[in-house]
Amino acid sequence: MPTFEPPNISAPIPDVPTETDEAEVRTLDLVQRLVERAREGGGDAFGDLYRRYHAPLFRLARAHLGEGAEDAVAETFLRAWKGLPGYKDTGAPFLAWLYGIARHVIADEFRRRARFEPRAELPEGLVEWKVDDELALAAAIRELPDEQRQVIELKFLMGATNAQVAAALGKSEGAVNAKQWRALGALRKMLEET
Amino acid sequence: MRSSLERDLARWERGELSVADLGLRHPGRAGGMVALYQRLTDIGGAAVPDPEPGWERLRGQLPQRPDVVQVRTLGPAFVLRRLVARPLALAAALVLLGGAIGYAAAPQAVNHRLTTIWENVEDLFRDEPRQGGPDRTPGSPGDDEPGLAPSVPDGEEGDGDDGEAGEDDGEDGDDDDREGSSEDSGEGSDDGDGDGDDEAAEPADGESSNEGSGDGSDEGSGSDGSSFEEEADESSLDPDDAVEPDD
Repeated sequence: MPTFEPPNISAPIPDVPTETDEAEVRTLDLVQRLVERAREGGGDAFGDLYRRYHAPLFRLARAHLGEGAEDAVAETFLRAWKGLPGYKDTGAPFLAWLYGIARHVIADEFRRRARFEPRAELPEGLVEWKVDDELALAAAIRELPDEQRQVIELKFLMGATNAQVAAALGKSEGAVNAKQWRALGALRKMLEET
Repeated sequence: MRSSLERDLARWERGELSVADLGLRHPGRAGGMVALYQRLTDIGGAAVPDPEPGWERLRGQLPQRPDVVQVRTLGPAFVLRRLVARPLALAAALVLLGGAIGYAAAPQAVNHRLTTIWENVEDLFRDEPRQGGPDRTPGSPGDDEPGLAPSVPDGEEGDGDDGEAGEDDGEDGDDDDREGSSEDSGEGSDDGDGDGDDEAAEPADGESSNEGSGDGSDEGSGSDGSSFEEEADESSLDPDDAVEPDD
């Protein structure tokens, strides 16, 4: 049932519709139906959406927050439930809409931590951040330009395919691919400098 | 602006180029990129907890959402019509039903009076005066009821089309007078025996004059009232005139 598998590196780019494409179309139809039912107040449909998108949102939250990822996921879905009546299907994947909400939740959590945690306990400098490689990497990702950051988060942290990332950002797959490698180059440079 | 490194990395990602070939083409640069790529891929593929406990907790926190009836897609006029149409239709149906039941259950006299009212309303819009209706014919049920026949039209004129009816009556005063006199003469000639029907005619005249003065149609009511009064005076004097000669 996982919808957003990590990219298969060895798989060739298909030129004609394949079974995978048809399965993806069926998945999109299913997601659209679930979203419609959830908009009308269907709690069970919203539960299906929760199960379907819990993993990518959890990975995104865990990469940035570490502790408290589950709470961030719950807050993301709570806001999604409240915002669903105003949701409009623009052709972008539903994951992209959830991703936008999750970004706000994570930012709010960073602000909350900055307000309430003692200054001395905050990591100071990248040297301390290297104690936790994942958090250091996440910090570097947050320093990327917006579109590069979105490509990295959607593709690697949330497991979206290049086509889904392109649809979410309104870019071509080629442009997404280029941004991906530039982002990786920038990340490597930032991590080497530290 | 894609560098050759980016192109080759894309080929490696698609499986068209091995890591070794990539390292040979871009020594010292490709290795770090591939390692970072794998590291990010590992993060994305890390195990996640079971979503069910989280969903069970969240389900209890979801606020109840009011039923959405696609109000956003409907214009305010449609919503207003939707809110008003049903009560209005229900009220109209109740009025019609009540009227029908009331008409059916009412005494025959009341029904006859209603019919008379309707016919007199029709008269207001009629160009030519009506030469006696079916209810005005001698021996009709309304003639037996005191105060019904001649008084109702004047009263209804006052209640209904106030100003216009009065003006019309005034302009066509001759016609109304003629109509009234013909009716009165018909009643008088038909009754023949005098006393009872004359008493019945007096309240009718009184009613007509009261209603006529009340409706503000001066000319029309004045002419009608005078004609009835004259006849009433004649009928009331007739017995005295008949007695005096005897005396």
